[in-house]
Amino acid sequence: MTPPGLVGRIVSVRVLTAAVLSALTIYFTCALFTYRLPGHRFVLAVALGLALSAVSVLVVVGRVFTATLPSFVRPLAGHAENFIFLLVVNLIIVSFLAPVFRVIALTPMRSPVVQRVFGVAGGLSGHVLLALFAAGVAVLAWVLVLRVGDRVVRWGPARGLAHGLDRVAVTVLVLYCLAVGALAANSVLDTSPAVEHGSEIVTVSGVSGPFGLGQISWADVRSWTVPGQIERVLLIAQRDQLRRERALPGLPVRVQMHAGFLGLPWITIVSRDEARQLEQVLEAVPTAAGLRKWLISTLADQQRWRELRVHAEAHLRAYPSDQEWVLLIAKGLREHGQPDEAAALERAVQQ
Amino acid sequence: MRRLTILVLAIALMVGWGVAYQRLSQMGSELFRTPRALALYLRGQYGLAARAYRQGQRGHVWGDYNNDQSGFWALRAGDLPLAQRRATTTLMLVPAAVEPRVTLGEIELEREQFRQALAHLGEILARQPDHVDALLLSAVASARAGDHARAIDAINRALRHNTAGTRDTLLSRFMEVAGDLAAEPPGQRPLCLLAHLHRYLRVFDEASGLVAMTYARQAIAAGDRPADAYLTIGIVHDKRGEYVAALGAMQRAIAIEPRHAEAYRWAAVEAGRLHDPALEYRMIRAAFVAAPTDPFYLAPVERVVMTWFGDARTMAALMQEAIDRDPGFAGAHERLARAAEALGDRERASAHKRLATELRQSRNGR
Repeated sequence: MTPPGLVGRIVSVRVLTAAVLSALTIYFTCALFTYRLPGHRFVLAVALGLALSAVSVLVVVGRVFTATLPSFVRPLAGHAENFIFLLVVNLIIVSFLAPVFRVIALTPMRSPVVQRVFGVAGGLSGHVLLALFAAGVAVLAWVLVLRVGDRVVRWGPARGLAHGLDRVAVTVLVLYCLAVGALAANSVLDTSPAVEHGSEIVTVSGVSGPFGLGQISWADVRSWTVPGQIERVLLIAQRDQLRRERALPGLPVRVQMHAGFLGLPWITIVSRDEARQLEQVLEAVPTAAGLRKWLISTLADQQRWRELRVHAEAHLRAYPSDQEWVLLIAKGLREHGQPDEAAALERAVQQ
Repeated sequence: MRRLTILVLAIALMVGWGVAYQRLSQMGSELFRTPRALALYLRGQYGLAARAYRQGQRGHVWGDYNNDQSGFWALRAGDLPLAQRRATTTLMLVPAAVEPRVTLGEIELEREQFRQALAHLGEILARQPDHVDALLLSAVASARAGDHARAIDAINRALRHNTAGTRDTLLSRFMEVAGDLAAEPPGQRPLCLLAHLHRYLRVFDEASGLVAMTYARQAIAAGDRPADAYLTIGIVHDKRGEYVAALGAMQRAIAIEPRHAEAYRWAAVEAGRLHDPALEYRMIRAAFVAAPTDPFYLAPVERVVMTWFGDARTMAALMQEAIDRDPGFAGAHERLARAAEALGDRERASAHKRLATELRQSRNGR
């Protein structure tokens, strides 16, 4: 078989190509969360990615239900709905037995496969089953539409329209995968060093899925390139420890970025700027000796001697009787080759 | 057609399971013990459900006096005369005993003798102002007696200890009073109290939080203790993980009632969850300033001001202010001693340590 013939053969396997395309779409949508770019358009792109992932599943389902089945499956085709119904009933029964399966999965067994099966069955309850059923409802609703529309689609022009829509969807999905693939390459092949930018939260917004199934959050932060401008950044809850309802406006943050292999700067992590926040807290509460001493030890680790001296002086102003501790700091500064800072601190003690 | 019907059935099953799971997973195991009561509860018939739950607890009294010296198990089983006999016997032997007195209060509540119930419970609260079971039962008795303000104060004071009480009869009592008060004509419903009763029920059923919020919003609109209503809204937001909204509600409560210690404390909790240490510090300090002689606020203010911030100077000033108002406040003396020690003032520290010990020994100090 010639290569074009082989491609033609693969493409003609409509269900398989749709399934592979759907898997790729979902994979690349997940990749979007890993290799994020700054900007509000990127948040829209993620929303588009999620929508296209759903569309890709519907394309697969559509093709399955309009496919000519292999001869050995044909006798079962008339019972597809029965199988689906029984699957749903069985999943509900399994959800009630899941706690028992979880306990069984914890007991030592000869066969790891059987143990794994019990583990999976034990997990088929609660939010897992809820997510499965949410997807199942969407898929079956689509099947219902296909079944009801079956008669209409048999009509020539409508069939043409359905094929056209299928092709448009596939084209869009392929283009989407290529675009996100380029974005992924921009990050994966990037060897540039990480650069951190200080910023501040303006607002944190987001949308939650139904029944508590997932949440997408994004933050508007002060731009680190154009003063006065706002940058929108997609938040990844597990990595950034920031999400909707968990951050107040004004929270100082650090945005770690890379230049990008294709010149598209991408974000690795958005984290709370604890040092800057500590400075702000000490400005508001200058008598917080515990926090200031902690900051001073951090500054010593980072060898930021001048700032260390300034904070030691501030501590002395708040607690004039704590001269012994401040003199210890001065001694430490001298030992680290900072005689000027040490002398300044000693002078402050003597005043 | 048959195939379509099966498909629709499968969809309906999945949606039904999802909805049922969502609703039932929010509920505590306490609500599943009596199926008939559960059905009534799910239909929103709280009064009937509460009585059915209590009926479910009734039956044979297991154990003799030695196993039920407070009389609670006899009361729970529905044998009020036996419960009373056991409680009074214990009180004769140990007049200062607390639990039999709580049982007597609950027996009077069961007999709808609300004034007598409040008298028994008041006796305990005079000795132990933060006895959670006594506070919760007194809230029910006050609500029944029409003293809604006292009921709200008792609920707020009890629930700040982050427990719903130790007696499993409390749930049905709150449910019953919530159902009965909600059945009153719309203009006469005690909206803020209903919000607080549902705040208690939220401990056992997340869905009650939304009911509490609805009543609280109506209470705000009606001017019925709006600061407490905002506090309820804020706490429900907090339990739902909506910390920014919770902080906003607490700040509204504070704006309405600038000496609302609980609103300040909750604002501090939210500030902590939202990673704002400066606000947390300000709010917890304000909570203590609003209630300087309430021992409950000593631990949180010490944790933030002294242990975390290391602000011995502010801690010493706060404790001194509390002692000026109540010289017998042993807890404040103890903390002042610790703050003075951190400030290097050993003489002052040992003086307050000594005073605290004397006060504790005299049993008058707190």
